[in-house]
Amino acid sequence: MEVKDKIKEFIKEVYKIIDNNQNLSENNKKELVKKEVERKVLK
Amino acid sequence: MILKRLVLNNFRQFKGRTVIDFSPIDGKHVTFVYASNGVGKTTLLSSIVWCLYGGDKLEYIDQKSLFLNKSLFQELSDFGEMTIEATLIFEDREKQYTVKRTIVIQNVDNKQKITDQNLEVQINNETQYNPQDRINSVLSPAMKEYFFFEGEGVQKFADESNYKKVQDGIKNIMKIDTREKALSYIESARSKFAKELKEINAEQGNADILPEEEKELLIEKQKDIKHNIEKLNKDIETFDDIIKKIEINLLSIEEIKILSKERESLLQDIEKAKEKRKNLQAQQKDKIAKEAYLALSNDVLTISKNIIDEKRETGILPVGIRKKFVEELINSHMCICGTTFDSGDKHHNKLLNIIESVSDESAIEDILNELSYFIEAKKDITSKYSLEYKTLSDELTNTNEKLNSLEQKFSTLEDNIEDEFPQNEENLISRKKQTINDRDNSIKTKERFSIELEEIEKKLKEIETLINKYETQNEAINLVRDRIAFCSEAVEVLSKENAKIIEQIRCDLSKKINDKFQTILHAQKNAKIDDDFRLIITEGDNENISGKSGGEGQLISLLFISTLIDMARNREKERNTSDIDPGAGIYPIVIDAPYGKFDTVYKQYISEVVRDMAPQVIILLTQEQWNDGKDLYPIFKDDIAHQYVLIAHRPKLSHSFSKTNRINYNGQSIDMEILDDDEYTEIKNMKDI
Repeated sequence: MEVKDKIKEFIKEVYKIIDNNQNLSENNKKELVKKEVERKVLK
Repeated sequence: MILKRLVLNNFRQFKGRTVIDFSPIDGKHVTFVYASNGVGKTTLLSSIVWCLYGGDKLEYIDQKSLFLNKSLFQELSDFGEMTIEATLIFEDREKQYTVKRTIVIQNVDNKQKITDQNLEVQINNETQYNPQDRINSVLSPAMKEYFFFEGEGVQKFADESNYKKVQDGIKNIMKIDTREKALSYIESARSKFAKELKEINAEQGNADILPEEEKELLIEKQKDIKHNIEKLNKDIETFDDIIKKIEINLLSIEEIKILSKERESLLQDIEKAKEKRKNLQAQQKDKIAKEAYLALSNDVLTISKNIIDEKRETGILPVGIRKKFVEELINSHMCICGTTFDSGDKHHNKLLNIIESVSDESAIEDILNELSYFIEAKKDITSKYSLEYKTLSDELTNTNEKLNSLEQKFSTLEDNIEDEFPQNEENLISRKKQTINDRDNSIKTKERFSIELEEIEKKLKEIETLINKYETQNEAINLVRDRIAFCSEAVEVLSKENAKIIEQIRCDLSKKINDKFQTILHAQKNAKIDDDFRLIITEGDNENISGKSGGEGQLISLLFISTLIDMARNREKERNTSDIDPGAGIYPIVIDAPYGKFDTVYKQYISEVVRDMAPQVIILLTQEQWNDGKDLYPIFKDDIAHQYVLIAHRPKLSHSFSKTNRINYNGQSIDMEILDDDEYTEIKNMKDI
């Protein structure tokens, strides 16, 4: 997958995190986004 | 989000089970609910909001916590409990949601006390783990006031002081806030990664020398030491070799010493043997000179004897008993038969007779015999000399052989002795001592180098571990850098996209609101959404005159909401799921009494706005506002899917019953208030009347 597509996929995932976890605190949602970056950019 | 059905159970005025369908029918999307004031219009609105978002209080209603139907509550004994329930079924993005919220009310001192609340959400009949999250993801609680509102209260959006609500509304509904949040979360992730990077870098510290450089130096040193050890090993080997050779030399010298003594003794023996042989040879010579003839005569005698014997056998020479032999027997008193005898006895006489008969001719034989005996004796003498001579010669030969063997040993030993070393034993021992000393020194040096080598190898291992750790850290650093770069790229992409989309939304919204505003009011006023997403009304040079007139403010607010929802709907329709667009959404509008402050003209304006503002519109209004549909029906006639009327059951009718509490439908007059012992509200589909 090209980087551009990977970034698009990632941003979509971030939207999902925001939509699906509205009851979570901001910090937790930020942590989820960070984890998503970790999943997208592996060793 | 399209509402399909609301089911209430003992919810405030609605005693027992109450069901209202909202589903659009054949593209008709408007539902009207008619009711007198205080009968339950606002309760319907607030029941939808409560069902979705919960809470201990009902919105839009002044009375607190009166969830339970009054008459049912009165029937409750002290501490008796009853469950109230609101179920909302809706569709969103092709999924059916069933939201069921319950609350348990207890009678405590004649007051309603909430003891328990519960929410269950099913999506396509599947129960959800985080039910509130599922609802919020469809319609955020922050956005509810844009979709479920009282008509009079909507005016607030046009109020200058509420510009923040306008901003929030636009951002919420157009999902700009989602975009902004996404951006801020990604930026936050980037900051966190940057912090991680800083921590890893700090952990590595600032060493004077890089571990790789130190490793190189150590390897170089290790190589030198190994080379030295190798050289020392060779030296030690050489020293050992020298020591061995010296030892062999010493042993050879020692052996030569012994052999020398042996040789000396042998030489003496040889000399003695030679002397003895010389003497023997002299004696033999003498003997031969004197008696050699005897040696030669022996053969002559032997031949003579043989001739005599032959002559006897042939009878040429006489045979018989020799006289001398018989005489000897007589003298010894011994008979021929072996018997001893005395003189005169039989045997003696016999022998005497024999002697008389024996001839004297046997004397020749006797002489021959005597000669033969003599020669025989002499023959022994020569044999003896020969034997002695032979023995001596053998001895000499042996001694010579021994000497030869000894000489060979000498030669071998002398060959063994290395010429490179001193031949002197003393010097050799001194040389050996020196060599041993040199070897010991080399061993000590080697041991010292070996210890140093061990230390270097240990240090190398440590450095290797450190390098591995740094490599792991470097991998981690690279990974974190990649993640930071990824975040930065995402931030850049999203920032550009957001800036473009937000500006586009603002411009579109501003233009559409103004267009509708102009169409309806035909005034010299303009509406716009400014750069800060504030709703601004301008008239000539005067900016932001919004909210100056109540009706105008309400109209502008409704225009704003309707335009917003319309844009959201279009945006959602156009959303490309493969693109990074969070979309917007399709939302219903539930509006309570939208016509409060308007005259007929405004009512018609508002009606047109309300009719088109959302894909689903639920309007709650009094029969006065409906006015038997005289003003509104022509506007809505093609869009009405459902019409309901709330009928109040009361023990005592209100004073204006005859005039206002009646509604006309299809030529029928329907009473909206019924005399009853019980007090509750009943909902009826007008089609069923």
